[in-house]
Amino acid sequence: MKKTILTVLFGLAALFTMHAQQTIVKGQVVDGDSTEPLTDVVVSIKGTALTQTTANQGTFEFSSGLPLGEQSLVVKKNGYLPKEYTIIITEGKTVDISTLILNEDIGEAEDFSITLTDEELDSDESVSSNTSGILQSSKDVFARAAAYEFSATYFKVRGLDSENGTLLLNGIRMNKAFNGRPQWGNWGGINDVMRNQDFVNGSKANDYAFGSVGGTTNVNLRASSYRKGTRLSYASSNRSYRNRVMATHASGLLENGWSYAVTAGRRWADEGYAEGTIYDANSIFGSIEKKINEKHSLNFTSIYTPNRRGKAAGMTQEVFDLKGNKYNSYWGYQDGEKRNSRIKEVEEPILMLNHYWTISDKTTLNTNIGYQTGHIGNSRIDYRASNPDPTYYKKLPSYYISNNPAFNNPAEAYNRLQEFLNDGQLNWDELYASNASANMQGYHDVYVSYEDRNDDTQWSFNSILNTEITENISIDAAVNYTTLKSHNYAKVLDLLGGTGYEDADKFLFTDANMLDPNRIVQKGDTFKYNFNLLSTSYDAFAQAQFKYNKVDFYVGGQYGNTTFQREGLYQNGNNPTNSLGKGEKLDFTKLGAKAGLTYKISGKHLIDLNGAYIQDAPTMRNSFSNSRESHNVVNNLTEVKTTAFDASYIFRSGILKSRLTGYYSKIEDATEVAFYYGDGLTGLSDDRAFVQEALDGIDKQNMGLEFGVEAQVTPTIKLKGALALGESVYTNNPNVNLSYVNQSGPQNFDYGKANLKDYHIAGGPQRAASVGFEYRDPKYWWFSATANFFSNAYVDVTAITRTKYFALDNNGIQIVGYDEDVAKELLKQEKFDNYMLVNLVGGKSWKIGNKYIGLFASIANVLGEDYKTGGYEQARSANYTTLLEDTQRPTRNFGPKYWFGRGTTYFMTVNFRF
Amino acid sequence: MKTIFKIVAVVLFIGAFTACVQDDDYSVPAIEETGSNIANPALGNHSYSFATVIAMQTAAGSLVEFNNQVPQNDGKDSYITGYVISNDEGGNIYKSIYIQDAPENPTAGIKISVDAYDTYIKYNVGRKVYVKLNGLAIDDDNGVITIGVADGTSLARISALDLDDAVQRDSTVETIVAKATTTGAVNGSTIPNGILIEIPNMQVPVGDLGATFANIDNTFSVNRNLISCDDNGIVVIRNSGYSDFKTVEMAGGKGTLTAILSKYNSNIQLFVREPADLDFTGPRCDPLFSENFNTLAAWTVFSVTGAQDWYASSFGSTTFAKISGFTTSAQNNEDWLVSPAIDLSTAVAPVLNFDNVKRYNGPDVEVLMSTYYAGSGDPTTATWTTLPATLDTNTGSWTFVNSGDVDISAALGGNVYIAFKYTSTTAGAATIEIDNLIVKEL
Repeated sequence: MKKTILTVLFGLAALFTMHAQQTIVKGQVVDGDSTEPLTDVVVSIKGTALTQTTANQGTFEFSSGLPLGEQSLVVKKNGYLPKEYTIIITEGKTVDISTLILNEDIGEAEDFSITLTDEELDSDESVSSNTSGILQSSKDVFARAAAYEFSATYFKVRGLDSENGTLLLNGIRMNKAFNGRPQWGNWGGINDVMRNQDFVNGSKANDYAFGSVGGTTNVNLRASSYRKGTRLSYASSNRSYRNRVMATHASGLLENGWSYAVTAGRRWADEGYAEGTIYDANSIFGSIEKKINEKHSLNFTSIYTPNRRGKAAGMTQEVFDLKGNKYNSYWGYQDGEKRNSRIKEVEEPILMLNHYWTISDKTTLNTNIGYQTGHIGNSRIDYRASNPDPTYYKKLPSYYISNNPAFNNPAEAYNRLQEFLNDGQLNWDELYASNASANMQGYHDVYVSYEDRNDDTQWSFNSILNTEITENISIDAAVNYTTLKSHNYAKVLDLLGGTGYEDADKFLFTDANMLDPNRIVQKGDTFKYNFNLLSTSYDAFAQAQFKYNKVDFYVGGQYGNTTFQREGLYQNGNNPTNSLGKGEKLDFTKLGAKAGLTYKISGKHLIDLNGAYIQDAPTMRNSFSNSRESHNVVNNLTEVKTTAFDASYIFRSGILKSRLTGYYSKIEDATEVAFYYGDGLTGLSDDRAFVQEALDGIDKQNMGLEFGVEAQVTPTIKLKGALALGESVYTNNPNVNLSYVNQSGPQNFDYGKANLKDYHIAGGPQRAASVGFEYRDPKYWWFSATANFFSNAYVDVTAITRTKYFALDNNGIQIVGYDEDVAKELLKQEKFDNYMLVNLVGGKSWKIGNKYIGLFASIANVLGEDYKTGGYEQARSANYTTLLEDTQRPTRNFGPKYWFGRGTTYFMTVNFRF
Repeated sequence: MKTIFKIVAVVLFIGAFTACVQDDDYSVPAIEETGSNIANPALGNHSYSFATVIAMQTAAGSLVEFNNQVPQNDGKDSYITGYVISNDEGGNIYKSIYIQDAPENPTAGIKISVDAYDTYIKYNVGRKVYVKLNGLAIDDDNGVITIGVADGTSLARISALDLDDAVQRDSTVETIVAKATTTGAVNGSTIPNGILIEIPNMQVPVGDLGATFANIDNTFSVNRNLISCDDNGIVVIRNSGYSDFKTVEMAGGKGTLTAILSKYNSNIQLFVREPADLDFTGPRCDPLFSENFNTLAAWTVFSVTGAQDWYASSFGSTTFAKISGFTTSAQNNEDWLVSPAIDLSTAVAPVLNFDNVKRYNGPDVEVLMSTYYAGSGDPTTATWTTLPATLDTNTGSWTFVNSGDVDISAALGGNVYIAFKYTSTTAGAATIEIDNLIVKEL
């Protein structure tokens, strides 16, 4: 109905401008509420290469190459609901659409996904963070399903991690050098100002950086890009936090050329979804821009979002069955309050200075300087007496039930069961009492609370050039330089009533720092380990984008260099000659090449092909086999090579939008480092030790299909569906190297190859499907329900049990009684059960004068399904004998540890805009 | 103006919602040091002595459950009172708490078997404890009287969950005075088993100097001998391969050994709690010279008269020097057995000590010393001084008699030679045996 009227109106308008000889299509885009002209609106004519971006006055004009007849004018701007207008272009006539209105997308749905993304998994041995944060701004059907419906399960799009995606703020890359991932906690709680996002899927061309294979997002934080006005919101939830307030004020472009935007907010909870997970976060954002003249503009942005939250532990099946998915073994009562022993604190302010130079109307140069400092701290308890963990295997009923009558103690198992059900939490009072008692006898503290700290200071400089050579061809280029000093150390937080803690290895009694032997540390002291990781990286990127009627294509390349170096500040007692001072300087060459094309069969059918090859430095975490104690570098450390292809068929009609994609990516020469206590370690000089395991030469592959479809079957009802069928596996047998320290000093063992080929990569479900509908009522309320199905999620396997030593005893001979079929069963990779999650979402908005009130609510996992989001095999039982014995117990002692998804949760927000 | 109003509204809005999240500010909880009330006379609980509970086990000859022995239906608890003497911090004591019935001069010791580590934190040495007998059991565990819980007919460890109730702490901590004793009393079991003992003047035998408490590269338990300077008696300390100090060298001086007296069936074993239990800081008492006579190769055998000579002999596992002047009938003999040179240049107060037997009638052997002997050849040309050693007078038995410590300090400063001169005549020829000869510091 609306469309028909508009068509007629524009047709009439066209008639009235018949005088002009040239064929012209022009107009102005304004904001539906403020009626201010809108800048940065992308106006294009469907099926052609004609596209323009509106400037200050919100105007656009197409004067050449216009196709005649009925055409679709597409008007889009980030943060606004897009519109399509049918126009009739007649030769020699002007089509003038003087007030094209765009209404702001109130953005309720975006709150929903940002909530998910700023939650990392709350564990030290964390499973990956997915790319949903990068995807949320996409309008692509599949990407939206992945961001909103799948992300709670830690589904990875195309099997790729957030370290394979690129996140930029104002053109500056924010992926951390340590693990390659963006630290979402650095910009949490300022959602209002993070809406202006430019996202490209996979390895497609974007205007800012070479990017990577997992999508690139640039978030625009320029003060002038924000819509003038004030927004206040309050949210209530039972997920990571319970309450959130946020207030934002943006000035819009003022007459004197200044513009500014500020946001302040707070998120808090005494307890999130899991027990004992406190949440305490404050956020502040300020951006100020001065438009110096028509050509130059200078913007300064500052972000500071310090947050503290209590973590929740992974648990074995036994613990889950006894306590459920809200159970958290990290907390205990103290003074009647729940005190969590593992708190994560992130305080890393970001400052940016951005210069925008419009050299001509075809060329812009954007130069940026970014500075980030601050720290991340993860706290825990260190102990020299009994393990305080209430889920330590010797405290659980399973330990007392054995097939061996000598160890079977049902009475004690019952005791332990009651104890665990009735309590099962950390006993803080006992820790204090033990310290007091030990001190009284002349011993030092046996328990201490400390944090592992990463204090990173990073400078980034870059310069991005975008220029339009011709109407069809544009060139983008950038140079980047980053330098980082990451200071890593442990710091005593709380002596738990004691008088001092020994700074020495608790098994070998060697000093943590031989330069300061026999040291007793106090609150606030640095101890255990102390080192810097220094990294410098530079690269240059160039790409050309070609847009023609029938085909768009791009080609791009990147070249650069990254160096890492460890600088030890302590001389570690276990590695006296190999820990102090600067270690080996690691040098890596970065290379990248990518190309792709989009072939427009017609306005409705498109084929899209992309390919990329990237060679990059490994992350710092995967480069050093035991960075806390030595300079040692993982064997065969080399650049990680990623190759990716994807091919898509896209169909778009008035009511139906769909995409079908086949993708393939492979990653070669990756490395991984893990730490654990192994039991039954054949082939070493000790059969039990705390080992560092380093895998090198890992090759992985992801391939599959993505399908997304949206059908606007009636003006108010939209049906949507998405399907992901993927398979992510290891494609070779990487090398395993174990190192540990015993009385004789550091030991190093080549443990041979781990037969990981064809084992699945661990993490979220590799297959997911979503069906649902969305209803939008003209009276400004909407409602959406989806049913989502997940399968093919796998546990993370330990490498050492897949080596030849699994079958051998200490003499190198096959274990007596070894049965190959039994071994195959033991080494089978656990596939988690399939599950279905139903999600409901809805909202309503009211307009009162020129003020808006919006209400948004979402309920996730309505049916309250229990499901596993990830897990890992414990490496404690390292050979056939110990693993068989453990699996034959009625309940395993060292079964895998899992993370479970949340039950039914809600998120509700009310916002007020004026 | 409107903008300012907006900013103020924003700030107030935030302020209104600022909420506190309890985090960070934790004060040390008050730790109440109130001991167990079980021994309060007002409660009327039944107190037993160690002797009584041990006798319960001895009488039965097997595991005894206290619930069958103590009053059950009067609502009162039964307990024994003891003092902790063990400390498992060093790892040599494992899942056990040893207690004795008095801080000084105890009459008995009992081991409590517990399924817990690091018990030293709460059950420190000297802590007065009450073991609540109800629900527990007592048995002879390979010779050691042990309290635990009954598991059928065998004794099992008390669960860590039940420990606080089974072994209740009093707020008193006494100083434990280790019972002074000797190696003989220890090995002869003339003092109660399970108590804390100390033996003075102990040292690591010369051959074991530098040895560590247990093995560096494995986790086996290791027995180590310690020898007494006073009576050459040997006691065995048993060290766990899981102890923290297994790689520490045992101290090389002479001093007091403190340990828990225990056993394994008929073998006496001692358990130390930490390296400091070997307080071996004084000068060693190693003999300057010792000889067990399994051969006389180092000695000079010189016959002046007669065909019979000194020779090395043995009986069972004992070896000794022997001579008899009797073949068919008594003969005339003068035979010298001269030691190698014994260096007294750094000695302070050297004494000679040996065991001797005289059997049958005949002249006594003479014990002589000289600083003039050439080292070989005819000793009669040198000047010899007679030494006043205690000699065996009981010619009717083969029992060795100790010579006592014979002062040879007159020979200080250089080398000394000890000689045994045997004489026999046709009127009488005794058989003389000499063993365990040492020259040592007094």
